Amino acid sequence: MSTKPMRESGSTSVKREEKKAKVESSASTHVTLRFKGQDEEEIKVFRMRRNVEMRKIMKRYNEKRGVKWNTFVFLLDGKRIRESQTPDELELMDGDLIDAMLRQNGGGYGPSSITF
Amino acid sequence: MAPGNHHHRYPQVKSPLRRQLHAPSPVRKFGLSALTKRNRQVSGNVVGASSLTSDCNSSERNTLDSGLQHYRTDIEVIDVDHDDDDEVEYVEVISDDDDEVEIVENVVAMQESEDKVEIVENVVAMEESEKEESLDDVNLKNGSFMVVDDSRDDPVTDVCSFEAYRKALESAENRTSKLKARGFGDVLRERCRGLLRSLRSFFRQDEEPLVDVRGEPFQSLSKEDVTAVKKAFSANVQNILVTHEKSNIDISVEKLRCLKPGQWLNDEVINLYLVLLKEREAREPKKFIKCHFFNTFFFTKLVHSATGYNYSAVRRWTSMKKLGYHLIDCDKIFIPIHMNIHWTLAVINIKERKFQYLDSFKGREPRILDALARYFADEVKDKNEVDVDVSQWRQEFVHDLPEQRNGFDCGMFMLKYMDFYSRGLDLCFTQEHMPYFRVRTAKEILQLRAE
Repeated sequence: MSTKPMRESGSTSVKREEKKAKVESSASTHVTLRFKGQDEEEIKVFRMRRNVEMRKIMKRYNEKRGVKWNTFVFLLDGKRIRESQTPDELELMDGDLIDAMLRQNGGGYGPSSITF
Repeated sequence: MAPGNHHHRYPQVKSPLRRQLHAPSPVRKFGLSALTKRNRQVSGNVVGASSLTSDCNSSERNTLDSGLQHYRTDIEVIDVDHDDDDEVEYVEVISDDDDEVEIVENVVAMQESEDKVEIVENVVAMEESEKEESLDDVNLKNGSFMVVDDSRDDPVTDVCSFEAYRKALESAENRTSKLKARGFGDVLRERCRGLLRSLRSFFRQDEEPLVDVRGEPFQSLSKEDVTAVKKAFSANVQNILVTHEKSNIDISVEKLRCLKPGQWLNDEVINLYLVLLKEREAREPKKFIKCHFFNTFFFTKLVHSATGYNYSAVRRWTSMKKLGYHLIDCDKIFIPIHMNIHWTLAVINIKERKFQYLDSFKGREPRILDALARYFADEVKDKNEVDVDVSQWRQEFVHDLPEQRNGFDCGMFMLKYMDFYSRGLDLCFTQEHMPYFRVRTAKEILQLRAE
């Protein structure tokens, strides 16, 4: 199923909803999101309610990774996600990829950590 | 660095017509007349209001690698919903537990920074007065200036070429010799003074704005500003001091404290400052060059995958919908580089067709510039469907730049490279300015406004 832009006419979106409903029974209330950590290759897939704050899913991700709360910054297409935002607010769609980036500090000299 | 070798701001009264006045003034590479570039470069208001409305508008995001299409049943899908605590309030866990130590450090550090700020303020004040004196590269803005000719009672003659000026000069000289011949020495002197006065007032008009721009990045801070910063540094660590809605960045006391002397800068402060720089340009597009500032995560995302360079990982970061412009429309693109514990800067200089690398420790990383060259070609191809032959572009490792002399200021150096470049200025600052810059940056973050 190819994804369509969010802004669509009423009838199309209804059709899409119906179609999705066949695939997943709770598609309209939930969303499937993928998380990619900066420091690993694996993508973790989560499912959550659309109207719940992202904080919850971020916490789960951290737990899965075995790290403490403030370890990662979560980005959607380069922009930070607030814990208080919901998938609905962010207009997230099934399969959207969220980047989990390590926090950054710096001031002095150190070995280059950039691998090419 | 600082201009100013000749000092003939006000020509001598005695021989006014033979003074070293260069009109029209040639555009110099550096110095004050370099500022005219700004007027010509910036075309405008494409950035405007939409520059920062990076709403996650999914209408332009087509997830080509759509998860559902290739939904595999062997991937573990973690259902966040399955615990029963939907109703329960979530309390954020703050992991900072060395408050007490922090407070003691505060008192001492505050003293130090206060002294430093004062010293720097004095230095800055001195520098500013020095600068005023060396403002002799008067910019005659496209070369036209007014000549008041007393003898004819006409107020103005618009002289817009060297030829015209030369002719005016000649005719004035003729009058001079005639007058001299008739012994009208005093009258002559009066007329010369009149001419000078009118020209001088013209010079003054041009000077004032130039003084400001050159001194702006060094403007001393008011007592209120400094107090506000101190207060912010010493408040409760968990307090959120400012929130930038559009970029979803919160600055807590803890985060702001990275601007205290000796501390390493963190990504929140840096990324928020870059957003403020962009907003500054949007407010006054004629005053700053057209720039794009990537956040600190961009380059990491671009090169940090199993395959190394990965354009598709950042492809959607720069859509027209997100930015309101294309990268190719900019004069300079700034890419902060985070290398473990060091910050450096890379610049895609579109105007001059070169890739630049700035490191306050004078390191060199050609692979970074290679990656960015590749990125730029891919990006322009993707967004504008244009082929750019970046192999023809130069790679420059900027060596004439201020260097850091300690182990903690590289983040501030990086920010200031961007600040000065986006003003169209040379990097005319040093390690000595860093304490001042730290306080100033804290103030600008608290006010959510970069000047």
